[in-house]
Amino acid sequence: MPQRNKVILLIEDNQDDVELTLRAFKKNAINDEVVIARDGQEAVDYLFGEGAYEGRDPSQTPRVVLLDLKIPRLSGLEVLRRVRADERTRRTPVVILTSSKEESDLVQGYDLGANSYVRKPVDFNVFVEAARSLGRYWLLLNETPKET
Amino acid sequence: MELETRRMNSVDAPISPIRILVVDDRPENFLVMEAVFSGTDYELVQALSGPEALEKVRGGDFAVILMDAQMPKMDGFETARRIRNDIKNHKIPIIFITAIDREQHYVHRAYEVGAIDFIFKPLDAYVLQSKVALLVELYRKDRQLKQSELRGRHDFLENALDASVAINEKQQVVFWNQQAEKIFGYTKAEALGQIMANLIVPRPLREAHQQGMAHFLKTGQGPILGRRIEVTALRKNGSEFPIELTISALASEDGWLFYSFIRDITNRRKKENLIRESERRFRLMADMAPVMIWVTGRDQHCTWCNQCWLDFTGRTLEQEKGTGWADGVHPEDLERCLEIYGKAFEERRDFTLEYRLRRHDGQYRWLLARGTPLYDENDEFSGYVGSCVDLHDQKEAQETLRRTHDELEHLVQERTIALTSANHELESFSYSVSHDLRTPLRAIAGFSQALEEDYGKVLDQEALHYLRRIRSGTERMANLIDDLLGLSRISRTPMSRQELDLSAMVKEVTEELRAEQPGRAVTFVIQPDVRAFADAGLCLVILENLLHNAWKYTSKHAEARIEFGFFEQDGEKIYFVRDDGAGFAMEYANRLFGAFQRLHTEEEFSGSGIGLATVRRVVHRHGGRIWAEAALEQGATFYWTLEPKEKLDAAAE
Repeated sequence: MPQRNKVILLIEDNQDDVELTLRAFKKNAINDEVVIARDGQEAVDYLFGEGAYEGRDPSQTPRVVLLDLKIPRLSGLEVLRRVRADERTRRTPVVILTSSKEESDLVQGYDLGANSYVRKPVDFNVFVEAARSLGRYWLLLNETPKET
Repeated sequence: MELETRRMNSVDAPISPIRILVVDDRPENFLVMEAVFSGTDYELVQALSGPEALEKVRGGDFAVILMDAQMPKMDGFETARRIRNDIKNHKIPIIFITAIDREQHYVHRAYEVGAIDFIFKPLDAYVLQSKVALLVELYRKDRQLKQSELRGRHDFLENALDASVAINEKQQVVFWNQQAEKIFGYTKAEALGQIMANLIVPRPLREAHQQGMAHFLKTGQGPILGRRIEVTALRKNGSEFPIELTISALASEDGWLFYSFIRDITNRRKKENLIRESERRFRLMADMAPVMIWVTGRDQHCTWCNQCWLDFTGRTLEQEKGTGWADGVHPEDLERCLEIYGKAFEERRDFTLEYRLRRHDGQYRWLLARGTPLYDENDEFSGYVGSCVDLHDQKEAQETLRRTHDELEHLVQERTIALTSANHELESFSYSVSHDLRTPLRAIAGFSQALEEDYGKVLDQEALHYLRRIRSGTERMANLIDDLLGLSRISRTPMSRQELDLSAMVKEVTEELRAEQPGRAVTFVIQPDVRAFADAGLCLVILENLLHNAWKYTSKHAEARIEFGFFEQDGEKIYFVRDDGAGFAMEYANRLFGAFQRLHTEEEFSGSGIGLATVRRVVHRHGGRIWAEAALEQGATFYWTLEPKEKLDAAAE
């Protein structure tokens, strides 16, 4: 059974993108709670219950992590590496969200275990469409494997 | 038989008659003598005085002399005495004829001067005939004996390797062997009895020859006798040639015989001249040569060096000879120099060696020396000959070159590092462009749309129009950024060439185009199986761009035709994409391939102006060329080439 109380972790430093992403979710009726991390370190703290998130239960993993690669402090790829390296979080779906079209990002992202890759298009309609398919796939169909 | 013939030829061929000299001051007495000996084959020779008799005796051989005792001035006794004293080997029997008296005194006197008999006048013809006949007989016998001696000698000389010629005192040829026939061109028959000088002594030398003969006959001294002398001789055909000869004088019953051995030394002379000439030429060339040349003898000692060497060292030949040359060798190089030279010398091998030699100005300069053993005409080792070239400047140039090369290498390394870092910067720049330029665009586009969606109802038409203009501006900017990134990626992507089916690739692109705009009536004509050896991704960039352009620029025509194919020209494959669309004026063709160059307004045809620049970059990376032909509203054709596989393969080897 999918865990309904789970959150979407959006790792994004750009306020514009945060707002547009939230708007796209809203337009697609994705009403899950969205936790926003403004940099890599904050994201890691959240995920592992450290720093500002001291005491948070790391076993309560997000339904999906939307990860911008170009973020301050710890880079997106580093966050991904740590997520995949930790037994508690390694099954959490991570979708790379980036404006980059650079192949090297994509390849490294997949190498580090990203589940998907969404390029943030300039055309907001296209982005809304991307958010829709994202929601459909990762939030509804692609259910996280149960802990055994 | 042959032997017999030869003997006949070699013996004094003109059998001389028996000659009798009649010395009498009264000519009528000679007539008497002729009458007395009219029944014989004797040849009577008249002498009217003592001196004349002497002359006749000198000039010829006589069996008997009949001497009148009483003559004016030089009488018979005096004449006989002179003959005995003057004429060498004189053995001619003299019969005195006298009418004076028969005194013992006379008779004794006659015998003292060599008379062998007396005949008293009046003459008894019979007695005279008998006495003379007896003496002639003796003479004949004697002559036969001498001739057989001569014959033996001549047989011996006949086959000598050298030419052998003999003449008598009268210079008549009395012997002429086979080799003489060969070198002078006269046969025995032609030569015997002839005056030798007329045959084989060149005209300018004849007088000297005569004088020499006369001198010898007079004094018995001949400075040229018994020595090897070299003179010029004459052949029958008139040509002159050098000979070496020795002459010996042999006394004989008939007076002196002069035997000569003659050798044709034409070849030897030629050889000597050649050697002399070659030696002279060697020295001349060696002295003219701009390299230093040296020669050593069997003892490793220098025997000669050329002017160039002497100019270099500023020393004299005498100073350099022997071991003198080693004085100028740099002390650090001397031992090695002598060792290499000595070893090569022992083994008779060629050698090369570099060493420093002091120049006239005191500077030690690097020389490259080469030497090779010398062998004389008998293949006997005779030393070494060699050369030295001044390598100093070359060596310094090499050193400079090496240093320059190192510097260059260093520079290349620096540049490579700079280039690598520039590339790196470019990459991070591209990355930034991709990320950072797009982010604000996204905000502009996104919030414009949000504004339109959320507040569209309270905005008037003009405000809504502005919002749409803002959004379309952001879209174009986004496309520009993407294309620019694409262009820079073309240069950075590593290439990997492979065999490609361009026709298949074109087909895929055209299918995509049709799928995007299914309503268009476009006919694609794709030449099947067009192949290329190129990078797949980059080739796709070419085809996509050109086909998209063709698709785009035919969009204003109700029907269109787009072709792809290739043809060969001058052994080169030329690919093309042709459309029948809007085309362009050829005067702008040169602007086609520059970035951001557009020949149409955005309203006519949208585009970033980067597509063809990208295509050109791909073509250039493949070592090819690209060009276009077009006319307004007549369509456009883009041609390009790619470096063929054969050329790449050849370059790889």
